[in-house]
Amino acid sequence: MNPGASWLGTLFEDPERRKLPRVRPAPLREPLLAIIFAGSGTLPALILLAIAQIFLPMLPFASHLPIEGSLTVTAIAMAVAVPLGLISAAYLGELASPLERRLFRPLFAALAGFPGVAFGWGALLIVGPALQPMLPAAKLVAAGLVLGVMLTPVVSALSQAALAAVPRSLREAGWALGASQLAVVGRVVFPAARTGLAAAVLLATARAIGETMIVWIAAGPSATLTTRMAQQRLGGELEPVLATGAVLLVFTLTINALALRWVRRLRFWA
Amino acid sequence: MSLTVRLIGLFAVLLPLVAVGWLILELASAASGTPEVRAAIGEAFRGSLILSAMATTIGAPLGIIAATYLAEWPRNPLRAVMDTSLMHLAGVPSIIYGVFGAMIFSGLGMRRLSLALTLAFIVLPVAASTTRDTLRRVPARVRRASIALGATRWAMLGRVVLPMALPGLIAALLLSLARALAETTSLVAMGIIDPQGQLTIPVLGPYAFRALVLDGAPGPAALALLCLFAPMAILHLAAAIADSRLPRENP
Repeated sequence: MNPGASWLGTLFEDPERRKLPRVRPAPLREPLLAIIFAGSGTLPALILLAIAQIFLPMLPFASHLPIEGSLTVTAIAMAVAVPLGLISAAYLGELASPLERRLFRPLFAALAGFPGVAFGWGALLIVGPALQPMLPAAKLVAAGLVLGVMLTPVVSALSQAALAAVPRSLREAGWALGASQLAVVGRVVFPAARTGLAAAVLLATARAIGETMIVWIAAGPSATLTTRMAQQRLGGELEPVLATGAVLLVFTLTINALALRWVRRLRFWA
Repeated sequence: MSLTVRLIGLFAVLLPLVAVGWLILELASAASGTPEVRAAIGEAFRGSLILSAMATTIGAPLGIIAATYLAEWPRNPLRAVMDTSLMHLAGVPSIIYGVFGAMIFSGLGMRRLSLALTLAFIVLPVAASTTRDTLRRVPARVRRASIALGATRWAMLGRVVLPMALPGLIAALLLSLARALAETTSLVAMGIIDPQGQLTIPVLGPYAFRALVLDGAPGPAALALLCLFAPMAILHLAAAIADSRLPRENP
């Protein structure tokens, strides 16, 4: 086949004629299930944490690395970012009025670019001292919570893209059956977009593992993999940084590769 | 839509916004500095602008060209590799970029250029993803119309698609600039703060980090962060306005 023909082929392809996945009943039937669904954002971090707990003692070079710190901060951050991000994506993408959408979308997008040092400032001077009397590891929790707020717009933007890729015909079918707007979002759009939503959660997890500034400023330089690397670099070293960086890169690239597979699956029929 | 749903949705949207608004107010009330500190922050502000402008000049055109190629040309094995690596590039933590830059570019001898080259790698995926989303929003019927009139691929791209996508390309540049301004981690990993704790090149992000962590001075750090936040807010706002000039999503 000559390449010109295939190029024209992509131009005239009818998106409606591609194969659509089966839409199963949504997991949002009970409020309890909805909470579990939203909380499942911490799952990737918790699974990695369990794997790390089992296998790390076997690896001599990795046993002194603060992998648990990295994954704990990530799990706390995702516990904040995923529920807020998914709900705000459903609201801004599907339910809100056009005015609210026009107002909040740029503001939310701007949040994603707010510098990490500023969030770290808040975690160190506001959130950390507020949590200190209540919790044992207040600094780490403060770093996680603030990181979660920082990642909420990231989860939200990626999820909105996933929801926007769901064909309008599915929604119309739901409305035609008399389902309310909320039911269509919960039982049609979310299940249809689930691979994209899972990818959004995974990409945000990778971002959380890689974040440095907030965690260093809030919880000190030996808390996580990334802060350990930055601390060693600040001391002028390069060799030990590379070992830590390799472990970090294995984590993020694995998560990214999985997420990109799911994004592709979504794009296949979007 | 019931009131409860509306309230829950608004809560999820407003919580991060209110948290950051509160943080900005706290920064504003804590910001303080002697005249020397103010002078240093002014110098760091100029340094930040120069550095992010250099990074954007190098990285953003590469990102825009790569994304245009990926969006407009047919699939082939090379394209699949490029697509995958571009998406992975966006997910690599910036500290890894910093270490990578310290290994590769430090040999150049020109400190500011090596920092800018590292930032260019961070900016590239930002420009690329914005451009790709923009090109997807150019309606297929416009492309079909230009093909029907006998336009070649290059004519369609140069005279129809890119002019229509111009606001999105401008948004890509502005967002790249904002991303480069905010970047701190990779610069610290590049060694912008030397082992004695001194800032070798004045840049706002590392300045605030150094003031906060090494000096324990929240006041000057807050002042530097506010100086960083102001241009970023303007850039994001301008990008949102440019983005609103694009055609609506494909029907």
